[in-house]
Amino acid sequence: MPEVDYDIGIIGGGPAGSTAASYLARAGLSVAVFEAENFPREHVGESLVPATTPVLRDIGAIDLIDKAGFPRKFGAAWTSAASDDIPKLGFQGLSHGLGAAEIEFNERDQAGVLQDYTYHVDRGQFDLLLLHHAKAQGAKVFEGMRVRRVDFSGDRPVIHLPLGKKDATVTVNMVVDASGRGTFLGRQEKIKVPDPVFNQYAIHTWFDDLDRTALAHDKEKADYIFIHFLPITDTWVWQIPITDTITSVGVVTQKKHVRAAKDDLDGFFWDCLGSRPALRKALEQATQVRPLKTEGDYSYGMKEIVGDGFVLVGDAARFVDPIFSSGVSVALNSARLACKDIIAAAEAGDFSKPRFATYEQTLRRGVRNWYEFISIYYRLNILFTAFVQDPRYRLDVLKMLQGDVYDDSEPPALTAMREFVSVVENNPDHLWHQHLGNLSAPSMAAML
Amino acid sequence: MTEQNRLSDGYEEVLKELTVYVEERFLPAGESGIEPTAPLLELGILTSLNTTELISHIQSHYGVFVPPEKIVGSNFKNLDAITRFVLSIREESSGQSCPVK
Repeated sequence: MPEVDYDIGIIGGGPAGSTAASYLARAGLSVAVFEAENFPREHVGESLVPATTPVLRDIGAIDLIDKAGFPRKFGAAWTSAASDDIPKLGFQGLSHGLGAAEIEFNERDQAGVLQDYTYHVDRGQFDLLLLHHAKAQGAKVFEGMRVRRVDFSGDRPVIHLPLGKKDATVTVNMVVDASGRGTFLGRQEKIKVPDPVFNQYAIHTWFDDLDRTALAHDKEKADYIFIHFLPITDTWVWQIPITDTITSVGVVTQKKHVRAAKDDLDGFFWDCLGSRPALRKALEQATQVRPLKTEGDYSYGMKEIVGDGFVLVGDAARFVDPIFSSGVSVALNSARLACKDIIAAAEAGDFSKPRFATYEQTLRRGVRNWYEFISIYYRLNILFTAFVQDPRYRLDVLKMLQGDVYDDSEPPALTAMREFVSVVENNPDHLWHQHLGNLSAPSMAAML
Repeated sequence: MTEQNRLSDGYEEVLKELTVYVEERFLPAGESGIEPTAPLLELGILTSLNTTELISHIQSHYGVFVPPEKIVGSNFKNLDAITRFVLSIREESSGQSCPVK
């Protein structure tokens, strides 16, 4: 009998798990993926950033994704309440004022990215394609198989799966936890830490036949992702094209606002949108095709993201806030970084914690940059639209938006944004002094 | 040519254009006659949010970039201050050595 059933056991078949499975199978390791659901299944987090492209190419999936017909995403746009009036006042010109801003990915060259666009995806289809791809690369995929626990007490991790009244066991050399926001090992090992600052909550659904040009200054860019700031503190709306006619719309707000409205989620959703009359009007003329869904338990970190015989990847390792469409990118890039160390560990026949130090360091640096970026972004609030148009910082900010966050210990965009916030904070004469957001993150160090 | 002379180049013209813009956009229909020293912020004619529209007008009309950190009360308190501010950033951005600091 062989010592292990598989070299690597992966918990979860979402983008992080299937990407890891593809990398490892392509490196010649035997891999089993245990996915609790049967695919396709719905999932939030539908907009990608260009940093996913090199990973999709690495695992040989870029053509598959490109040909699948997902809407191409060439850039991102922001609107604030200040911009609602602009079209009706007959505003013209290249600049959009400070109530709105747009950015195109191709304004900055990005290593490993040869196309001007990334994708907006129906995660049901996208995740299914990646999981099938992992299978095609040689990974063994078990769907509808929810892992009960992982026993780390022996020489090798043993994965327990429900089989009738008894457990089936699978022995592996190491476990990759890609269980997403379910944070399987984070909970089992009690290493999960809630984020004290970002206590956000999302309410989202799909609409059919939304006029996406309704709030776009440049109608050609109606298929960008749109971030609409609401006048309600620290609250914003995503607008993501899913097909030619379907659009994903979500309100992200502080949990306390939702708690106050918990008996009437629909009312709350529409009230929020009502703070931007043009947005609400456009949505009222569209058809809601899915019931409202909520995502709570918003932000958390882990005391450990690697250990003897395990690594955590994607949302299972860290989740902050979806404002910059970072979810799938962190999933794919954390899988990429982790697999480098895992493949080396397999060659050395040693799966102890120190083997994964490079992964841990790089991922923590990346998510720390994301976290800081997001914190300052919330603090800037609508001022971000002014900031992103500032030619002095535009490309540095774009680098963050492209998802290029793993190399710099201190990205220049962060330095510039931090300095700007402090200028506005310390100058009561600044016209936007009172418009700074409320969220700030003094406790970030404690999270990482 | 002295600094003062250069700054005053076009002062009347810019002041007039900005006065018309502010009156048309931010005053109730039919009202006009804002003095260059009328306190726009105190009177509520300019709010922090509609200032964004004025700034975008300045940027597109004068082809200049308004650095976000300079959006302060002292630069926007009245039409005289706004005019001087526009002239100064136009001067800076046409400067040969250092277009934006």
